[in-house]
Amino acid sequence: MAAAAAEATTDGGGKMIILISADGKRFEVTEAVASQSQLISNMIEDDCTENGVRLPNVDGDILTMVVDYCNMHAGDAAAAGDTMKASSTEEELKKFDAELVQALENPVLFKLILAANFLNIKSLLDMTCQRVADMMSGKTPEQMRETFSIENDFTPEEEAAIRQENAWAFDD
Amino acid sequence: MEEPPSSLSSPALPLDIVVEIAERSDPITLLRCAAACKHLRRVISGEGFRRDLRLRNADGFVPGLLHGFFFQPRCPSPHYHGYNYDPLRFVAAGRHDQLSAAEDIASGGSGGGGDTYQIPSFVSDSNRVHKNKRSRRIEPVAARGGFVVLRTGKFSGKVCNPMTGYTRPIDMPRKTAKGEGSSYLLITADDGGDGVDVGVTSDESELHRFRLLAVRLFARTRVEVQELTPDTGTWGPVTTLPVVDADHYLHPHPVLVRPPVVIAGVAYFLGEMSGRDDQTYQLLLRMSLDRESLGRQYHHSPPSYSYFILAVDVSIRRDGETGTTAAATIMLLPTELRAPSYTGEATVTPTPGQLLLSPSSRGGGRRSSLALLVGRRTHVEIWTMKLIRHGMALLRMACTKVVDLMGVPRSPCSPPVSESEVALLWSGDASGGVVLRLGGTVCLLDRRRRAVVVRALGDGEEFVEFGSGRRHVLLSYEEKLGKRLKMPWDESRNTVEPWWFLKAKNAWRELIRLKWCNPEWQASSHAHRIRREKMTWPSHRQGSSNLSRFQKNLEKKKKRVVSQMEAYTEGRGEYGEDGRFRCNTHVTGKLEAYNEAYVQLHGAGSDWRNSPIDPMAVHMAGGGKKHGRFMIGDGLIDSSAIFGDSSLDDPQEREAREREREEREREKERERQEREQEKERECEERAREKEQDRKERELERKERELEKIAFEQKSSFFEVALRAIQLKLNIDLPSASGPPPLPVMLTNPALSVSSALNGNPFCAEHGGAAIVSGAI
Repeated sequence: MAAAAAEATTDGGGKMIILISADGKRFEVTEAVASQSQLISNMIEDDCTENGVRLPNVDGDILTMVVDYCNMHAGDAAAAGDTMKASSTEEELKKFDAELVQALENPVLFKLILAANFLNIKSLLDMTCQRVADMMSGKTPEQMRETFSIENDFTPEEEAAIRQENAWAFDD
Repeated sequence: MEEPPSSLSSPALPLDIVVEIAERSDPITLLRCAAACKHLRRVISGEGFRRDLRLRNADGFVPGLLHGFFFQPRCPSPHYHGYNYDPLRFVAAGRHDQLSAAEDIASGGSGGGGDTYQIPSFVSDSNRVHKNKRSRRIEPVAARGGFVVLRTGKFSGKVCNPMTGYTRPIDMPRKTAKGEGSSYLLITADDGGDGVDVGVTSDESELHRFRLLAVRLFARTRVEVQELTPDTGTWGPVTTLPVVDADHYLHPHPVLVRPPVVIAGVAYFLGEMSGRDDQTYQLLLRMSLDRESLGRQYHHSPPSYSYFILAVDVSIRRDGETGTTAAATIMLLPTELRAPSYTGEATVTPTPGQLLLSPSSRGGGRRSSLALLVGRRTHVEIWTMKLIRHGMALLRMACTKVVDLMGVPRSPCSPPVSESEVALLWSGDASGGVVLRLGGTVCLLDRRRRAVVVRALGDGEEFVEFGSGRRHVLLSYEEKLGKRLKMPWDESRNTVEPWWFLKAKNAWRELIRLKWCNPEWQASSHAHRIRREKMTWPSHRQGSSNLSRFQKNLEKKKKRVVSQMEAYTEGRGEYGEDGRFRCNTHVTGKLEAYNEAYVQLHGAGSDWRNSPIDPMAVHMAGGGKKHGRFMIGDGLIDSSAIFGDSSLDDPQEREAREREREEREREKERERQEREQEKERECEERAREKEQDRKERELERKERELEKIAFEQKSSFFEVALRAIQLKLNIDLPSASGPPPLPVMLTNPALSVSSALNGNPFCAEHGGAAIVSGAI
């Protein structure tokens, strides 16, 4: 609490950072929220966030989600009443996370993963990867290749050998 | 939430993110991921990946060792009398708590996880044909090391490997009235190693190597062992082994009650003395409960048990005999098992279902010993045994660990577990995991890590079928994954570095890249192979080891004494089917020449093949030591054995020898000179001594002479004095008689004649002058 109070007194509501998406949308977030991303946290340390942070790899829609997620999860770290529901409990957070990834289609989910990977937000990457892993359950290798756009570089013989090796895992 | 973006095409995820995803998936999905492309396969089968996985998942899922269980519940058929069996399910042990929690919140628990999979390849083909009809009940009789033995009929069964789809129909001995009658033991390559040969090797050439033994115990006096011949699926002859230590009190109907464990080539079976297995016990228990519920006074106490362990050596002896050759021993379990348990509460004797033998690693090493697990209502006791005499005798056993069962997460609606509902089902020799049942929850007791962990399998699912009798089928299973796949040499082979390269992984990769993946090297290797294949005689097999090492290795391999010449021929040729020795002409010539020389030296009929190499014969056969080398066994033959102490053929040696001789002579000369000098010195010394002696003597003589002279002088003085006195006396004292006393004072006793004469100057009055004058 002491730390939070100190933060509140030094910059009165937190220093704001502007994130600029690939399609030019601007998001204003507090430093506490933004520094959940290891990438931006490093930039803050290096003091190169004055003119906004350009994120050429991230679309506006995706960045909206990322910012939502960060706002939500920064709730306990940021000063009270600063952003939004500060009283968000653990269950609410989990519910929020589940809802966030539940509704997503593959392309969006993948973009979200890429954004999380690029921004280096570990918890978001964990969650999204887990979601994909769950979705992959029960898929054949061929479907996986399709999903992940992987090129099949096995020769037919090798593939047969692999299937033979773990035949039980490939019976559909 | 947000609108999905306009572009619907999925962006390609980088492979490292796909790997991240794979890490979070269940075993089967993971395997399928590994089959998607080479990169994924490499990463997933690599060691680093497993480490990530272990770190990430606290439940310890290791893809290299999948275990879980097959489950087939029974339900009453609505259409006809009897029961239906559901299709067989496989419940894998590797499931993420983390994942299931997230999923439960997200989707209310729905969404099939990776835990429930049917494995049709495991069940016979007929099941596939009659897919819509009811499933047949499977009757597993043994499951070890990835193989499963099933009974399919009165006299038939099969051995399967569910992972690979291997199936081999076999004959099965008829069941007895009390159950299987035999205890079946599957031995796989995993049981060997550490100098123990179990007759099964993990040879790459043959994928499915196993031994199946049927062991029957008769009245504690003998054990009958039969081994299956896998090729024909029939059983071999019965070997009867006498039981050692059977002189305890006898009981006519011992029964082997639990699945066996193999440790260091010895199989251990848990037996019960009175012939009651778990099934009988359950029946008795129910009967006694029924009686109690009827309110009768008749109280049927639960039967007491006495257990023993039967040890049978199943390893292959060094003399090459196959099958079980050693005796079997019976070890009675101590009575502590019947005493109040570890926690102090009085408990009944555990039923057979609550006991389980399991391997236990002692001191964290690879050597494993035997442990007995005892399942109680609230905990599992692990009794470690101290075995002696190659594991054939029990020295002592003690309860070394107690694992609490109360903390196992079970679904909230599960009823509390009674003592009889704790059952230890199976122990995995390779994984060290033990499957146990707490009422309707199947748990895995994981002993691989320092802390023993018990966790529920199948998401803590409550298998209600357990409550309704014993008709379900539960078959625990473990198997190593991802082995035995031959891949051509390409750069993907760098996934597993040999341990001796662990310190220099880069070097290993470079070696692969520069050597085995180098087209030039591959071309030359290919050319060599072709040339090798064109040879009509066998290739040289001795490698770079010398003859004596090769001989030792051969002895180890053949398990008998191998002579040097046999090793020599073995390394260079082979005996054809017609018994003739084949090798290249070069070697043939050498051997013929040697043979001739040997016969010449040792007489006709001498056996050169089984004798040590004769250096003389080699020398003769090879026409000397051409180019400084013997024809056969150059490293073994000491030249001095042939040429005596000087080797004429070797100038260097000769020179050395000459130098040595010269040196020796010089040494001798020096010694001789020294001796002479010594002698001279001695002579001189002696001469000097003599001289000294002589001088001394002379001195003495001189002294004596001097003394004599002095005395003479003195005596002459006396004489003068005496004469003077006489003269005076003659004048002054006429006719005086009696000598004067004076000369006595002056007499020297040492003076001989003169003194005696002089000493007696008064011997006669008359003669005095005469004498004195005479003396003058």
